[in-house]
Amino acid sequence: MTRALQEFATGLYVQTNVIHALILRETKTRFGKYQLGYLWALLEPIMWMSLFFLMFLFGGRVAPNGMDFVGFMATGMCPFLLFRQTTNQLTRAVSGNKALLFYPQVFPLDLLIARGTLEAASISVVFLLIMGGNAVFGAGTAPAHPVHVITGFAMASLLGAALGTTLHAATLYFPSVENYMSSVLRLMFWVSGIFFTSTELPTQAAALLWWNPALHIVEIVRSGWYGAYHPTIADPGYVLYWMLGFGFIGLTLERISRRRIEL
Amino acid sequence: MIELLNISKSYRVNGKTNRVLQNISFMFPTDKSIGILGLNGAGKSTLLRIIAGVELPDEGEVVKDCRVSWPIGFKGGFNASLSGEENCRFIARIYGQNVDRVTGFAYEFAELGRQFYDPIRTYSSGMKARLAFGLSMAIDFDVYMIDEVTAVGDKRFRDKCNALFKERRQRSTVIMVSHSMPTIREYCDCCAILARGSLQLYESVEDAEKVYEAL
Repeated sequence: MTRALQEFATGLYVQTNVIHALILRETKTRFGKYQLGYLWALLEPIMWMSLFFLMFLFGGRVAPNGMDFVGFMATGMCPFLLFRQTTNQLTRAVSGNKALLFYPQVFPLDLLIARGTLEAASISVVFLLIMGGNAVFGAGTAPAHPVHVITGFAMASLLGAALGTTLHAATLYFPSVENYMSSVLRLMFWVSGIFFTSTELPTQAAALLWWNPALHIVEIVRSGWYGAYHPTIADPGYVLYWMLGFGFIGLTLERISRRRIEL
Repeated sequence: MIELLNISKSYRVNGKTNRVLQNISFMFPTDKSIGILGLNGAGKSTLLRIIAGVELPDEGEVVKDCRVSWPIGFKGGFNASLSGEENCRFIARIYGQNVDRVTGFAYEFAELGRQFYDPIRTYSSGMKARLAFGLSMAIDFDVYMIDEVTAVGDKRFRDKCNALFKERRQRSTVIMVSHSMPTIREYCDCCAILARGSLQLYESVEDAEKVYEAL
């Protein structure tokens, strides 16, 4: 018993070292190539938001349900980008890092965990910077229910991780899966509540989009930040089904597909 | 101690199954450096990767109770877009070593000068091999797994490797894969031949040499 515990402790120590090293290395390869690399992480969501700000302006549309524009956009954009980026990053985490599997203590799962963690950290920082800036200089407020906001972000991250792990394994059998998925994710960008809230949807559209877990996540974050906003589509239990489903499929496939990775 | 228990491995190429390793059971001597000879495509590198734990066998098990290095060679192991230094730091971290000590040792040993701080993609294969060798020597392994790496570099650099190796051999051994007889003769105490999926040990390198030449 003590021996098993000892082995577990050693294994945990080694894996912590590995994941720590991978995160530092990923940070370098993702952002460190150029001098202003870290700035790019902040720039992408802000550029999207500016573009939609202009579109809203010309369309004569304002942020719904009494929210301010920046807050409305950031609470939609950031959780969605977290979900999408985590999915994309994890799908390619192993194929782009095969050289690292040369070290016996580095497992494919470590590469997935490291990328997922980095993505969650960087988008959360971006979100806090935007919302903080908005509260200090703009029309923003402090979050009404911080725990709901954190729950929403955790769900975005974990759903992306579960889906990304599944796709990573699936692409080892069917490489074209990645292309299909990026189309699906691109479509989801428009139907996940970044530009609208669930309360604005016509009944039929609401019934259809209810199935989209990313919309639930966005609305959970939004209602967490804006206490007075009560969305019609924000069921954490429903998102949990997706997370557990893809988490189970993903981890199982990851295990089965390990031998198919060619060094 | 490293023991192979009934190891099999096959690859599928164009629908045909190619069995590279066939039910290999083998006990590596603990106190001797061993060379593994084999023709091209005999499965030497595959065997080395399986022993190192990088690749899983289809069947069988590898039992080991010592610190075994990663397969040191030209291929793999480095991220081409990061510098030599950054790669060293990464590897030191995953082995739980002091980062500055390992990086310093590798810098001194590999003799890359300023290029140590340039991306690996700008390195020649000789430079990569030098860095890989220096880096692996910075970490104390019980067994160094070497995939053809020592054949590179000029005479002076090889002498330097040999000197370090001699000193290291007092506490560590080598499992080396090669198809070059002189390299094996230089580094190994005994020799095994991998042919037609099975691994056969010979007490002396000379015995193995005769069999190998007849292949």
